[in-house]
Amino acid sequence: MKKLLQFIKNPFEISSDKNLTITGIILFITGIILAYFFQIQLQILRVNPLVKLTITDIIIGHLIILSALTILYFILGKIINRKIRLLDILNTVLISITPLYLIFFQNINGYLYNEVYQIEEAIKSGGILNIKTSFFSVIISIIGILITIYFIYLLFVGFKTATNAKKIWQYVLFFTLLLIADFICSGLINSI
Amino acid sequence: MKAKLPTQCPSCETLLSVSQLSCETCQTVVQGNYPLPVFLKLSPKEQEFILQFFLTSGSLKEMASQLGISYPTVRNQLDDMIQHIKDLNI
Repeated sequence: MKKLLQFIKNPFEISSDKNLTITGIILFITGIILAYFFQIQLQILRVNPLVKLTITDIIIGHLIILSALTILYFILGKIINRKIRLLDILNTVLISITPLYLIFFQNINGYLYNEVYQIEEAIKSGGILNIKTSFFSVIISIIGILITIYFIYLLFVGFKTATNAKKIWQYVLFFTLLLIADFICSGLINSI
Repeated sequence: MKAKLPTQCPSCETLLSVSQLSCETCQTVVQGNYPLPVFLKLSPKEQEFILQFFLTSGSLKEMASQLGISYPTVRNQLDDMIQHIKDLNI
């Protein structure tokens, strides 16, 4: 139980590189299959359930996210600590994005698609203020936010473990880079 | 019970120095003021780390597997300790 809590708190502190890489790759492939099954396009800090996706679109999208986060955080990591390894950053990204795959389950029976579609239609018709929000959709939104926070938390502790970052400017750059990565990935994925 | 060598002043927490050494065979006593060796200035946890590092022939990977923690965590602990020793002005 203690080990499990420690794993949830910071898996990068207690797990070996090999275990993290193997688990990360298996979960990454699972994430691609789930995204295809539930027809959701992942874009780091947001998801898009409105587009029709082929398996190739999803694989490319997920690889863009993996590469962008790994490359950007590896560059920042090298600036902070020249001893860091690419493998540690790759493992951090592979494991930290895993919670985001849980968001895909929100599209069971096209639930997320219907919700987002209604909001988009309301925006187009100018009736966004008249849209009814159910208690269930509020709960779903809160769960989505909590999952995203946990993703950012895992990415942060993984990066901190990989680089031994301790200074405020390093943390500020970390969060700035996350926004840049999200912006780049959204642009690239939407252009597929 | 093996007595633990105190390295910090229990009153003000400053590092203690050696002021007396004695020979257990002939009872000769040497008095003076000698600073503690670097190893003893480190915390017990840090001393244990150095010992493990030595026993694994300096292999951080082997240390990580023996301690049940990840490689970057061991490397970070080593980096922190190097910084601590540098801060001791040795």
